[in-house]
Amino acid sequence: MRKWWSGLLVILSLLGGLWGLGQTAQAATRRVLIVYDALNSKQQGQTKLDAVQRLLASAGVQTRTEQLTTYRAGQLTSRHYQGVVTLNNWPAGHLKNAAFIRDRDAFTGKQLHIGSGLDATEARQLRSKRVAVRHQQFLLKNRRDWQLLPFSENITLLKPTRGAHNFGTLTRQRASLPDHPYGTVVGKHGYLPYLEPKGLSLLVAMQTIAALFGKQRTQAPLLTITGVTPYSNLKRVRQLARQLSAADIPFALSTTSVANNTSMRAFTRFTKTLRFVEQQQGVIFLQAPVVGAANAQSGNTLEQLMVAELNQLGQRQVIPVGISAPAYWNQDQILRRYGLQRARDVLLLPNPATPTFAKQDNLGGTVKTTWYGMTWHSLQTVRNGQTQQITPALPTAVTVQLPTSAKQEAALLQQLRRANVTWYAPQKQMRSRVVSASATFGYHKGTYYLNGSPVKVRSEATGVPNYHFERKNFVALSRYFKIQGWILMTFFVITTIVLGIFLFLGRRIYRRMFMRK
Amino acid sequence: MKRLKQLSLTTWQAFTRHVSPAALATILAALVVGFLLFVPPLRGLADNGTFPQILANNGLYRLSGYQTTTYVNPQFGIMQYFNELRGTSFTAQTLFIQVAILLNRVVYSQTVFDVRFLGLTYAVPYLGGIYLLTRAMTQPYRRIRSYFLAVIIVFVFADASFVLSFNSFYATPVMVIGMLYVVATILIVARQRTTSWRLVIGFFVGVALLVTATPQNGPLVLCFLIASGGFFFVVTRGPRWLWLLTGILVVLALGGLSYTSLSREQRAVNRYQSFTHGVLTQDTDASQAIAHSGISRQYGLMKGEDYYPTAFTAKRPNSRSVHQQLLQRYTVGWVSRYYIQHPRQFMTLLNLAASDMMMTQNKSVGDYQKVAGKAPGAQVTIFTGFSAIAGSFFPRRFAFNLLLVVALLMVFAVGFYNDLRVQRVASVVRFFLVCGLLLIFISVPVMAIIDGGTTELAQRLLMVPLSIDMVLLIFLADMLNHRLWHTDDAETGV
Repeated sequence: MRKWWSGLLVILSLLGGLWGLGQTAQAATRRVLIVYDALNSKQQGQTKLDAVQRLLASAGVQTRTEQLTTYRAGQLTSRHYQGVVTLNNWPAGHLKNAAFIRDRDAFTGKQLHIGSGLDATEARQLRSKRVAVRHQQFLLKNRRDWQLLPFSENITLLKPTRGAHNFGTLTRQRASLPDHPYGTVVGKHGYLPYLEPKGLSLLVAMQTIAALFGKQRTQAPLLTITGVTPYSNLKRVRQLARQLSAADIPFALSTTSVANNTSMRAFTRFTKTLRFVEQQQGVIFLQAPVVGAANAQSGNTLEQLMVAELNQLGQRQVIPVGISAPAYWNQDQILRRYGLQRARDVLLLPNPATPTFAKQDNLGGTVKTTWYGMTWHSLQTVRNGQTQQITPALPTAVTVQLPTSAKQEAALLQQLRRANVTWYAPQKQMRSRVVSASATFGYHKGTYYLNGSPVKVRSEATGVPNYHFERKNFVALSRYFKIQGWILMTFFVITTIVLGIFLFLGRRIYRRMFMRK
Repeated sequence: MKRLKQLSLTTWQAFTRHVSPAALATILAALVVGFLLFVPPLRGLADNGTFPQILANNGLYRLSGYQTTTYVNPQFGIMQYFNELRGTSFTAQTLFIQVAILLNRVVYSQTVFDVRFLGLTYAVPYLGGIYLLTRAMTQPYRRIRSYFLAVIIVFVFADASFVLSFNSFYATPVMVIGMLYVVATILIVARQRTTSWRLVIGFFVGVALLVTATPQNGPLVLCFLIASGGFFFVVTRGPRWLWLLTGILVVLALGGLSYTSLSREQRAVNRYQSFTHGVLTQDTDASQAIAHSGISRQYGLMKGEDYYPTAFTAKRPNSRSVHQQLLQRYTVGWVSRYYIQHPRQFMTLLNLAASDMMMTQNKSVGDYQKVAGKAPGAQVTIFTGFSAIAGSFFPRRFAFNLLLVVALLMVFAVGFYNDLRVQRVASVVRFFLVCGLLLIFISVPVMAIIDGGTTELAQRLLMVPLSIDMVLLIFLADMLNHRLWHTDDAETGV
């Protein structure tokens, strides 16, 4: 009898466990809906939207982006979405979608409002009172750092309330006026009165989002050199790597590569330089190629290209720890699937001026670690050009462009040495994996792995056959044309000589005819 | 039997009395052109991606359902409002297109442009050119061989590979028409007792059309100056000599303007592809070949890349660093020095050009309209005899071309020498013309390789088949008329 009961219990608990698993699995795959009113390119709305998408990806949340006008009633439900972000870029537009507001009011998941247009319901959910402020310039303070913000026309702030987590403080020039919090999180609701995707503002916004979406893990930023290509000045890359290593600054390097012409000496030099970087404790991110033209059928081409690039590098002991790409790659079905999702670590960089999509789907994906790439330059506004200790709440890569002159290089190195930043050290913390079609590249605390077995990186590549350039392939008819050409040529030479002789003889005969007369 | 012979003789005499060889050629050419261009289904050449710029330049736009490379588009929209791109480039083609648009507006529609009006605009001066050329080559005879020549001229110049381009926005028709007038006028002037100034003006108009047809034709103005050298033997003194000089200076200025009218971007495209599809194409390691040349050898990895990448690439070619480190250093001097140091590679490229040059038929784009129901990219096969024969049987070695030039020059030099001795001008003028044409024949492939590598080589070499066709026709005509070695006494009147 007891056996029978226990058996039933086991079955029930198993079922319950399965059900629970199903629930958690569903919760994990539920996305966050980003709804924006307009791109408003005049105020860099595209950059703001892109920043929100990247921040959420770094927080480990899958997203779906929808414009307010294309939002359909009933789309936002707790069953489908774990949260919603309202991004208002265009205060003067006063764009409204009643269906969205209704659905959002009824929505029980996490909510974040960024920008203008915080309505009464949202304020009540945040348990705060709204304060409208016009024509002011603010100073954002966070601990000992501060950043002067651009002049703002209209801004809605919240009065500080009890029970709210506040991030950063907005101070006005006149000291008599009270301070207001910048980021606010109350339970499942959050608010950011504006978003400036650089410097301290971004760091504080990052904290807010991390707190709201519950993925807060303070982690040192990863210093990353970007803008490296096979055509770059390799001597400078070497020098920079050596200097950084000497200054004990761990770093990563994001570089594009080529899939063709890899038998050239230029490619050997390029990979030799990258191996040198690896020996100097730098890690390599393979940067996704520039998209010239692409469509929904480009997946295969991209797959082949990425696999070829990875394999050509891997053969020469250059083992990328992750993939880096402009942020829009994560919003495109083809580019994301064939480009990004082969890596555990993805570094998302700012978008180019005109992104070329293959098949845009606005469904932001996630990988194990999505690094948010922000420029070193933008961080220097944090405090009077002096950088304080940066401790971002989400995985962040601080990017520096490869210097183009010795002067720039010296200046950069000086800044980096002076900065009191603890950088993320891949050789102590990082564990990554990149999959190409036939090979798996791994990296674990300073050791590289190829298909699971450790790889020793030497200054010369091992295991690459010394390629000999061959003559052009022989085509069946080319021989015929060659022979035909030669026959004609000899024919012409002979004819010309004969003609010349005849000319000479004829002329003599002709002259003799007159001479006799 | 005897009566039959008598009858045929009288018919022949009646025929020759009423129909000159030139008229026959014009009628035949008109039939071919009429059939190819105006008899449904519409034939032409499809867009290879270069049309939109020309369209915008001329105030036209693509209608919905626009086809690229596979099918010909019969109609275009006419822009009704301000067009900021209008007149941003300087080519002779614009003239023809504008006339066609005007005609279209008067006869057909204010808003929709039918490409056949452009075909018509090209066809009229083209037929005039055929008439003049046949006349120049057959006058004053009306023998069977003259009619044979007329048919040959139609066979060569009314080939579908030339005629189909009339219903398109390529620069081919302008070059064909220009070439017809340049050669015809110069040959007629050479044998006239009193110079017809209308013909001399016709010559200069033809040259102006040729050198302004595309920017890369600009430098050819020098070849045409040599071709016009014979005029100074015809006109030796007085104010007319000055007029001649003025004409030459004007044409020279037009050539210069045409060459410099290339946009900055187009120049960058040419340089880039001249590098990636020219300098870097070799069997050995390209990156080693450019070492110590002022350009980083890493750029050897760009071998085979296009300026507008069709898929993915490691670095955007229009980025600033590529511009500074590659394109700015990649000058004509650099390329010339490189090819002098690598003569084998240069010869290989020239042989490639030699094998491409007689391919006048643009097979990469379709010839039919979509509603015709043909497969995408379908080709016209009728009236392609000459281009097919020339394309498959003309030897494909540059060295052969050089020898051919030497041989032809020697042949024509005999007439030149003989005429100089007896103080006649016809063969002298002809010799200068042939020199100019042969110089085009030799220099255009060289310039094309230096200027843009092997990209779209066949299309950039169009002047080469045009000039060698002309020289061989002149050779044939003079042989049939027995005036290859010396001028006959027959005078040509117009």
